[in-house]
Amino acid sequence: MTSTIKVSPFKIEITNEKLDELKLAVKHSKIAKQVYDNSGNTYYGVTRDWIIKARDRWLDGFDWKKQENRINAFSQFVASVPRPNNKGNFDLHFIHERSSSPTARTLLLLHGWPGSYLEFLDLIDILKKTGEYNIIAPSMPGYAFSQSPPVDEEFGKEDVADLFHALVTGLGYEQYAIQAGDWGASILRIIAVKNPNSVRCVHLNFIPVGPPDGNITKPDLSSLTPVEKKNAMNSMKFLGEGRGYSEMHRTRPGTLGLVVGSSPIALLAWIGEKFLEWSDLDPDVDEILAATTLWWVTETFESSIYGYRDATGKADNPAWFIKTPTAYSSFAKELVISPKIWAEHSANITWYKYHEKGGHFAAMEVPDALAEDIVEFLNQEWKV
Amino acid sequence: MQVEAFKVEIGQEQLETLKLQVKVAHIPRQTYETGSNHGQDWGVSRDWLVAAKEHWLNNFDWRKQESRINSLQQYTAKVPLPASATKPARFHKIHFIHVPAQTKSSPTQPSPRTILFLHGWPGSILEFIDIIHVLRQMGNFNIVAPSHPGYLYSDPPPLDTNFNDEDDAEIMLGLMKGLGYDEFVIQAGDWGQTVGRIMAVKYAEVLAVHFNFLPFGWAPEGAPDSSTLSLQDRKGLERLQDFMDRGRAYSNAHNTRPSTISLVLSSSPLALLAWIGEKFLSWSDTSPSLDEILTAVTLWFLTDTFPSSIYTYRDSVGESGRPQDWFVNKPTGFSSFAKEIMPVPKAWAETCCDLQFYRYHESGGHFAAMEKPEVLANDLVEFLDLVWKA
Repeated sequence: MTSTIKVSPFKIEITNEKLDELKLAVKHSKIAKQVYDNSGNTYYGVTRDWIIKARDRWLDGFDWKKQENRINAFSQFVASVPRPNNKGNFDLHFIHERSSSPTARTLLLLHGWPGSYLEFLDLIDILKKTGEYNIIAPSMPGYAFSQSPPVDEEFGKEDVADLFHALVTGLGYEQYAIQAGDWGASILRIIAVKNPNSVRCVHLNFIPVGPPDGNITKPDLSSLTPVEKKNAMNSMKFLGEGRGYSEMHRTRPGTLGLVVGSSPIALLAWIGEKFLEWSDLDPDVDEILAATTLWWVTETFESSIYGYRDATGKADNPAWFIKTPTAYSSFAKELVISPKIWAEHSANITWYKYHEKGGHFAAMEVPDALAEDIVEFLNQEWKV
Repeated sequence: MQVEAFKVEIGQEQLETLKLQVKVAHIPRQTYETGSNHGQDWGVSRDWLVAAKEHWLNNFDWRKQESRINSLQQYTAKVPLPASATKPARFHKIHFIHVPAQTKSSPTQPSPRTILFLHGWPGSILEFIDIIHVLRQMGNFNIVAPSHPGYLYSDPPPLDTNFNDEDDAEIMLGLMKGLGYDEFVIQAGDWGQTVGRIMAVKYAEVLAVHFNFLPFGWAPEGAPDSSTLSLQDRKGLERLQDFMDRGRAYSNAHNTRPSTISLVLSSSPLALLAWIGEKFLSWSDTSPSLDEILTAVTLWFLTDTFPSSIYTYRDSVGESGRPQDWFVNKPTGFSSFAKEIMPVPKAWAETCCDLQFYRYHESGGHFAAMEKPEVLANDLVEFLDLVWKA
């Protein structure tokens, strides 16, 4: 097994100058005055109090170098990956932990928005220790240290899918499994449907589909269990009032990119809200600050939202039904928790488990539970 | 009512601080979305923001703009509000332009007529400066243009209770009565229309209303089939549909996550400039000048207006998409501008009010008073002559 693409080792090395610039930008940022809806009365988003506490920690107490050292303990690389149709090469940043075992199975981990490869560090640690997997966790184009989409032409999820497939095969792997959530799940879907001979099996923690009859306003919940009914109602709530951010991404990415990228506090509010709202237990503030620092110093917010205007790979589109054996790990605090019988219209589900604990960022929140699910599923579908 | 004269007088130190904040604000890298060649309506471009920042720092003359604002006499008043079942008697400070008629009524002079202008979002009293100057030349009017609670120098809504459009309407009525006006006509667009509609329905003091905006989200009951509408009306409905499909993300953010968006936009003057500058540019027919936009953004940023400007969005009255739910059973005028964001046919307007004046204009957009002060003034005076004989 040999690599056919050019790969260079990579380490994160954010200079002190850049970190000082960040601190200065934080200091200059203004905090909104207190009003009724930022005081935490009802849920209206991230609160003023939280922003102030997080900002104070960012200026005094948060240690980026400690985070950087933790990340650099993983084997990172940048590869020059060829795009199909002679569109040239594209630099992708990724973690690549190769097992020494000749029967190791290859697993591709795909993050979403506002995620990053940082979400997978704990999960990778756990899987690494088994020695049974080759693990690849790339940064999406436009995220972290991967190249950004071109400035003069459209670039969408299918381009990302093609690049990731080219990365994995370019590293010398003929077959692989994929794990994903958020819109990593859309990318996974496109890769699996386009490359059925390469993708052995896939694991999803996010399958956002509505009822099979398409009636979202009055869904037929009669065949659901009580837990599934409750989750369906919660999902409706998210679909009804939780997607303002995605409408902004979809329709005004120009304005929003300029707005959120104007100040670290703007970025912290926009993505911090999701880390807090979408997870079961709130992540540690340092984890949120680490992600936000990475986004700020790499200037990637503005290049992270191109996928929202692209309907390719939608879970409820029969043209993108996943025939590959699929695992569905369903977490109780996910945003859209489709019951198994709905999800079966979207993928060939051969393994399913429901978890009472854990939310949208499953890999970050409950890495042990997710690792257990992945291992069990791979042992079922990809026997060595 | 306790009324005090007021002038906008931004301290030099505040201006210097703002300049520094503009200077250090970060402009993101170029992306496809912020380019100028994609042919899509994705918001402001990076080129525009770079030019605006440079102008703000090096050419923008705040003092000149400040003089223009102060060309119309302003006040603040502690508007008294009576006790209700749920609230004690209280006051709410409101900032406003007040230009009384030059001639008081007398046996030989007709009575002046009173106009209340209500701005919207992301509006302010600045929008009405030109039209007020025009109206003063045209006739004998008492003119009041307040800042809604939470805007500029009006006190924001209370911290501990929900505040909605009906609360706003109550304060606006209190202001007018406190100034001695027991009869008046309202002119409004955008969210001012919602407050004006509530006032027209609830208060006998409101004789008539003139709107340049009627936010139907979809055809009202009783509306004729769209195939029977004129080409002009059908084109307008295409614009409306486009706005409903692609133009409302900002209002979704205001509605569902107002805390987050306030924290985002207060953090940097450029964030606020991009967010509301986009609306000034895309909602108008002829774009306002950069100076006009920067004046509004400067004032908004220095008064920390944004966080207290969006309370209406969580109130279902404003977003119901059904103006006919508050039918105005009083003489109503509707000036329909072709480049409005939600143009509606006359037939739709007739379902929500006693429509007695209708005029369509081939040019002009959402900020009618700012874009077409003479046109709107002519419509308004013609409407007043129809329904309120001088």
